[in-house]
Amino acid sequence: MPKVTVRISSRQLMLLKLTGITGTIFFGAVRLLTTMAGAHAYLAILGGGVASWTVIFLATRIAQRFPAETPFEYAQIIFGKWFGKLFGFALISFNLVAASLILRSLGDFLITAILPQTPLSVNITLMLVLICVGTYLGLEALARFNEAFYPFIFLSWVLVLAASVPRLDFGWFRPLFDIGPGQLTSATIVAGTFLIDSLVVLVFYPFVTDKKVVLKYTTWSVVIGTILVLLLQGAVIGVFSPNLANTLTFPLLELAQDASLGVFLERIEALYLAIWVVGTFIRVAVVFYAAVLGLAQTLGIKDHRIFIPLLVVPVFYLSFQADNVPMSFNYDSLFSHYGIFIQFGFVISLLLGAMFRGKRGRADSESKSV
Amino acid sequence: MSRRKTRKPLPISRLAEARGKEPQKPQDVEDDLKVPPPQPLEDQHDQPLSIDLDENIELLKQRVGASDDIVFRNFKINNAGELNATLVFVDGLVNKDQLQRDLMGSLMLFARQTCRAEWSTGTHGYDAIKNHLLTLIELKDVTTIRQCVEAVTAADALLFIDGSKKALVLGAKSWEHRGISEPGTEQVVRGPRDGFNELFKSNVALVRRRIKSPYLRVKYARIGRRTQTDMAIMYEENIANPSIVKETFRRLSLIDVDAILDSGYIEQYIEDNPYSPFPQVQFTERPDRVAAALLEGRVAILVDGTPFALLVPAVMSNFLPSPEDYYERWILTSATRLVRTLSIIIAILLPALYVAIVTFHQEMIPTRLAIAIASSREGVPFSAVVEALLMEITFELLREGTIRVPGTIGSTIGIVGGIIIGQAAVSAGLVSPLMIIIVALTAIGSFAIPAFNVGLSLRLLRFPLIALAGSFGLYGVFSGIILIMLHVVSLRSFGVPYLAPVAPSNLSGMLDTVIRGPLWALSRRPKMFRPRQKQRIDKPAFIQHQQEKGRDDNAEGNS
Repeated sequence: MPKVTVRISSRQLMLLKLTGITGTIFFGAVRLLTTMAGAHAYLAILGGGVASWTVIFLATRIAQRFPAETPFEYAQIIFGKWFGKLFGFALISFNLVAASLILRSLGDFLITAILPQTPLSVNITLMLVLICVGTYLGLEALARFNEAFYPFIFLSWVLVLAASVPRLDFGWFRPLFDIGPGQLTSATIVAGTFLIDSLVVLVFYPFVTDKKVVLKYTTWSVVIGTILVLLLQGAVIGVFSPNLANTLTFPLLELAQDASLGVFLERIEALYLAIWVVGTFIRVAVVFYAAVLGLAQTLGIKDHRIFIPLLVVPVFYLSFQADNVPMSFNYDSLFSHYGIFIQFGFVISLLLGAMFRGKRGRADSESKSV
Repeated sequence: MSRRKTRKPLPISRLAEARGKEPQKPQDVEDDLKVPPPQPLEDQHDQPLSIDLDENIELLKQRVGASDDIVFRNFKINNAGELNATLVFVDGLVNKDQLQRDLMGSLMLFARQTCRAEWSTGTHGYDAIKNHLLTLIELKDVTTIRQCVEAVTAADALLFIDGSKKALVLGAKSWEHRGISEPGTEQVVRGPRDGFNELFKSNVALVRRRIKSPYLRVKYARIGRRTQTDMAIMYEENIANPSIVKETFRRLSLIDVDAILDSGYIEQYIEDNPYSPFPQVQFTERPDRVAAALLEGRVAILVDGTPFALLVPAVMSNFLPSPEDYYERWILTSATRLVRTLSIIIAILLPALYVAIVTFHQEMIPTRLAIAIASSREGVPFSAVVEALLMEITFELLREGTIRVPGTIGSTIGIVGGIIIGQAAVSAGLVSPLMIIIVALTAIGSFAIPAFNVGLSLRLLRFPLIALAGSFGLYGVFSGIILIMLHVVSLRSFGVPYLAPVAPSNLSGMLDTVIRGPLWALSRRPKMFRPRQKQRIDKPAFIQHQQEKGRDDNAEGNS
């Protein structure tokens, strides 16, 4: 087999980012935002959308300076060999933690919602096997898979929204703007973390063929993602009232459960669940792929695939750090409070470092080979 | 996706001009498009023909052995010198009438009238016979014994003339064969009825008759050490992407095997991923389908001795349509395509979904249906997954049995399958009636897919999915789907992504997948095959018609 050149289009990148935002929204995002900001979560989501777009804009800028290299490679140019490698390891760890947290959320979700008797480890292992296969096949396969499957994820949310419209009560949103600045800020930060997913842009930028329109498409992904999350959050508040929504473990699941299409297609939430599981798979696989690719490039090894078994172990281990579901929710919330800062930190240190040291990457080649 | 530049279609008057500007091909490209002749079977000593007739015949007899079907006919050419000659051919593979009329007749009866005296010696006589006496169309000189052996075994007749160091290969191949009949595997309601037969040259002609373009290229090659099977590679030169054509030739030239008895052999040697359950090369018996594929920029491989032509590259969306999809109006066709898509989903998913829902997600079923299912499963001793596997395997047995059993007792299988297994299994309480319905629906679904090899592979994938459904419920089913989809999106056929034009997506290409857009809307050739000429029609006739109609309507309105 000749050396495979990995190529994805900006549209595929946009869809990957959209899956990153909306594929896993049903885990913690809505619950967390409801408990933090109640009926005013929409303000936080709008603010979070703006904040995350800013970080993504900065990420695109730094990626444009190094159009042919991934951050793992150009970190070594910017910060020098050893500090660059250290930076790479930090990025990899961040991705591994993110992957394990989402994986654990999925496990919790499956146990709570559909498979109460299957052990957590079995569920997580099955998903990890799929993720290894996806990572082995690489970015192109994942991007195509996502492209073929994203319409279903999107459609599932649209159906959930459509089915909840008759039960909306706009009275729950009053009084408007009745929220303290501190509360709003922290909710905005959490919303920002859920909407950002900037590492997808940062890591996968060199693989994109039509680099000129990346910013346009990623902007669209933030806009669409923000609107979708906004509507879903609104539907949860409007249907359940802020007080009731506060007590729900998975508000979006409840929303879907109550929905029925027509007379005979009732209780189709298991179908939604299945679709969301696929979304989660894509999200974790992409994050894990970024980590595996990062480790290979940080260590300067051509074939990333040999690191898959090496990195599966920490992900599996990390996903069992929480002893029970509330504890795992706690970890999630902790991560959500800092996620946007960490990503901002990565991006801004790269950007400032490159600007001060005047480093630029190789000229843009059409695409990158792995 | 970059924003597509809108390319203004060329008017027909300028098309020829534009074609004329196409860059000349460098010579070495032509060399790439060759399949080397197969290696000889044993490295026997080759030697030039001798001037002595008897010596040559003796040598040939040694090589081809004592086969009774090889005829050696000695006769004298009736010219001034009474030259000795021998005709060699394989009985049953040459047209004896033609040889009798155009060869024996000319040489034995009329030679003296045409020949001059100086033509009576061996070398002169040879040229004279070739140029003045033999009225056959196909004639070729051979000079070595190996070439002679090859000619005889390849069903050509061979003429040796005493005193000449050359022998004449006479193209008079003819054998009993099946006529052109309706293809058995791809029947249509509307559309041409002719199908390929086992003669590759007549198959080539069937395609050539449909495409009268001067750019249609046909390259002959031979493959298989023992079988020396003829094949033809066809492509439309100014449409097909040169890299795909080159890759096809490259892969064919790497095949070095004993025997090619059907195009299926070739398929298995040139496909991208031999470990995939999905076919990556399409086969067809229909010349219209081959013609359509050539005009999309694909390459066809026609093999002697089989009615099945191969089409490469072949992606998922090539297996969904039936040829008549393009002959019927688009709304009807789109509806049919949707039904077929549904049949794919049913074929692969239905039993697994049933098992998952009945075993794990009973709450998903509407209450009254749940009660009905529960009561129908009441006496069944097996779990749903065992029940499903049992019935699916039974069905596969029935299907295989029906194919293998001789036609006259075929109806027995129908009785056994329908009454004994269907009816009795339910009343014996082994399976629930609902399961029978599920299995039957799955079977019908898999047969509704036009390409039966795709139906076969989907039926295979059903079993692991049922097992996953029995262990993990819907989570398992969708894990299985993820695995299958991951495999499919990473698959390629001759470099073309298997799921194109869905992923990587191409909006104009998607018009011809799950639905079939109107013909005038399919103005571009499928982008995934990277055709050299992207535009299929210059200005859609329908749109032109609409514009003119609009103009007329306006004019009427104004007046």
